[in-house]
Amino acid sequence: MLESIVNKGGSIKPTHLMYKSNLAHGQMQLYLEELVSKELVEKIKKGDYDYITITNKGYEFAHKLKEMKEFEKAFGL
Amino acid sequence: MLHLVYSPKWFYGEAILIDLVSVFVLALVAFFSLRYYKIKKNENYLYLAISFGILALSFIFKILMNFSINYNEVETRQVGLMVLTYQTVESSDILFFLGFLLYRILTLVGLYVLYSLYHKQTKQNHFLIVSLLVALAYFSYSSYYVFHTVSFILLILILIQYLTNYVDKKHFSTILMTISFVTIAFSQILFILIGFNPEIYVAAELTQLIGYIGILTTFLTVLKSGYKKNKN
Repeated sequence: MLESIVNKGGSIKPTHLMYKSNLAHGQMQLYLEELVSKELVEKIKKGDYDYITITNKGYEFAHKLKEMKEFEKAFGL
Repeated sequence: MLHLVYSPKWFYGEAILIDLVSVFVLALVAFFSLRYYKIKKNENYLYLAISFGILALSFIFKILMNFSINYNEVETRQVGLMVLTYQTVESSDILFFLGFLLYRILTLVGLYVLYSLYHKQTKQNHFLIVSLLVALAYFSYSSYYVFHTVSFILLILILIQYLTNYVDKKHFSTILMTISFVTIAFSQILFILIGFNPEIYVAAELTQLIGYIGILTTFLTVLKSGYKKNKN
């Protein structure tokens, strides 16, 4: 989910996030709540639409996850 | 006690510097692997951290061993009394033997842990193989080539795994890692040959240094590529 938000420039509509991260609505809400509670993303209202925006902490965590993926590839983990 | 030193005397200091670079690279990978383990709780990260941590520790003992050789020399020159000189040499010998033994045991165990990360073993197998490696390190005290041959075999087995990974995934960092391990494995061949000419020891240490710089380069590539992709 974080990767999908990052790929969209850091802000995404909930419906788009659902499609991009290939999750059912219920599942996405569950994960989203966890991400919000950990301050990795926040819900922001822009005009008539709700947006999910990644926080600085979220960016840092997404960076760490990418780094870990690369590390796994390099060491064949 | 017999001192088995294969390095030319002029290279003692340089050898310590090279080993310090190896310690830095190994400790760096172990530290990051442990950090990732705390995030992901994947045991593979933990095993990698343990393996690289043990290898870093082995080099620390190798450095201490080299220090004991230097200390031995200086003391013999400065102290003129016969009895005092003898006592210093004896304690230094014990230090040398312990450093030498722990360096060999930890190197073999570290490489085995790395190997068993890719080829899972039962607890009984772990116990058996580690016992055999400890015995081998102890009884091959004067037969340096046995230690380096076993290290070479373990490195080749690890290398096969990296090569298979590269064939499967064609990833740049995987080939960098494979090349680094090829270089380190090649350095073991050179270490086997030092009996013919002590100067080969210098070539072996330098080859090993290139191998560890390769691992450092791979690691920096990993950090950089993670950052790059996130910026998009």
